[in-house]
Amino acid sequence: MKTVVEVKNLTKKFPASAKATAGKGYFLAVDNVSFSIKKGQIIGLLGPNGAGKTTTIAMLLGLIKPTSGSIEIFGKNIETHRSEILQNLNFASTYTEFRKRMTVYENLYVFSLLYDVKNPKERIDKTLETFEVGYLRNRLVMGLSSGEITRLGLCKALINYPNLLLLDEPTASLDPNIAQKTRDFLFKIRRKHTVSMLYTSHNMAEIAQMCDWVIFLNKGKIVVQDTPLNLTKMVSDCTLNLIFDAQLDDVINFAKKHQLNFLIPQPHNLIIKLTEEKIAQVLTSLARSKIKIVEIDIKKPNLEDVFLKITRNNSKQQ
Amino acid sequence: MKFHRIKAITVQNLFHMRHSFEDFVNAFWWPVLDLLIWGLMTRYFYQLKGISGNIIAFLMSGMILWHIVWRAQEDISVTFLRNVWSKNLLNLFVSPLTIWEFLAGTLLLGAIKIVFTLLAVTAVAFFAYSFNLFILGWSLIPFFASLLISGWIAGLFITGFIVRYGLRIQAFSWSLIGLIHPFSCVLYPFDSLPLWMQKIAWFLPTTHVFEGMRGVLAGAGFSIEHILWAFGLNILYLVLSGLFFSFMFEKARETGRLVKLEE
Repeated sequence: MKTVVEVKNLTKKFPASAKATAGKGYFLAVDNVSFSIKKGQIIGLLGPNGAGKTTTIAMLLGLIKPTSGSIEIFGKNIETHRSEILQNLNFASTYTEFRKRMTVYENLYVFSLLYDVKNPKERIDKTLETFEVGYLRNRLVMGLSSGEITRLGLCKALINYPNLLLLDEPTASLDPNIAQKTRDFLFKIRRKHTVSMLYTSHNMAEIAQMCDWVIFLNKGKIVVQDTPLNLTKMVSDCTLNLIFDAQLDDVINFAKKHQLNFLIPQPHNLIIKLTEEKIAQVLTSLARSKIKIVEIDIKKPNLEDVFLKITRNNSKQQ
Repeated sequence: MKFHRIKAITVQNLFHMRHSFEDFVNAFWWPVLDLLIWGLMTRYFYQLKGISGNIIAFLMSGMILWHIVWRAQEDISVTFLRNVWSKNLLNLFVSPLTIWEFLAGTLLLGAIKIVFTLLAVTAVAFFAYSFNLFILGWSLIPFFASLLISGWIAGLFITGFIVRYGLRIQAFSWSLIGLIHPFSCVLYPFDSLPLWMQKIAWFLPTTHVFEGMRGVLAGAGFSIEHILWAFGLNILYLVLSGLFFSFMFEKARETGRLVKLEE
């Protein structure tokens, strides 16, 4: 597959006054980060606040100058071919807005001129319909809700038929229905037009659903990167939540006999932390015992558990 | 530079004007109000013995022409700030738009707006006080061009500071231009300045325009020397202000200020 983005040893040090610098004279926001995005691939960029996600995206967009390292997009360097690259790229973020005293159409018309879009009127109406905001066409931006502005941002991001989309929490202020429709649409343009995407979100389920590959950043460094499925395997613990109808002593004896890591938060509730392979074994043993199980809930690890594990490990190391 | 991107910025400003009363106030209200106040004052001067008609023409012309500098500077700074206030600046600069195209689009419409401001103020001066700015004749064209460039230079310097230091110094957009007003000899001749001020004033292109303007009004003719000084200094300062703005923009990219400007 063709490489669309190639980031090599990207580092950004901000001057001393910008943030707490731990006596170094500079703040290391991004530390020797390398990754690539292939054509049609969706990459998730995850990390706690201050991990370096926004700085990385800003460097990809040419808004922040890297201290060292290189960024090549569509085979060209962003520092030397900025306008050429940005012509085929777009960006949407919950944190950017639009000219408030201009209508939705007027704002999008300005962007259609900036990107030299052919038949701008037609294109604007189509993107507005895609995100179900055609009714906002002639409304001033100052009267829109945050969800409507987010959808306007997505319309803007698609106006130039981009080959690469950088999306910074694109569904953060959308209701679940519109958020799902947005994800479906992004999948559709990836499939139909092989659009590549770099996606950040605090919604782990969304990242797991959307991304082919996830990069975890913490304190400016890539801590781990893999497919969402492989990442969840990093956390081996599953949670078996059982509601039982039996004597408490029998349940405790059973748990001790099988050397389980357990907790009884309420009189008829047993919570067991165990590896995925042991679930069947424990359930079989329970069925053979005289303990009557009323309800079983198995919680497998997800990206959120991976996120928490990584960020906690990093905090402990410091 | 691509024309469609310059056009985009001009169109953005036009769309803004359509919905903004503030633009009307800035372009017409203040200049006309200023003119009315100064007009009344000059009428009072006229009634005083020993005040010549020339002084009234000096004051009125100076007042009207100073608006060119003021408006041109404010157009650059405020257009930039409006995009910052609306949190739209990043949307613009993640597009292929370059900073020079942004400035060119702003200047293009700004120059047209100033022509309309000038015409409106000149008309008010003529009907309210029987003062005709066109007595300056063809010399009005180089004076206008030179003052417009001076305003752009001031705008580039001020916006450069805002890009680098953020909204905490946004008040410069309205106030900093006032700093060169006393040195520019807008309402009084160069010779009336204290010596230390004259040393600074000579190196301002605006001083040469206003001195030249007074020469024409006093019947001494169009001073080639003053206009050459004005354009020479303007070219020098335009290059310097462009380099300064470019340096500040790069500095803002280095420090991350460009991304944080909207916060």
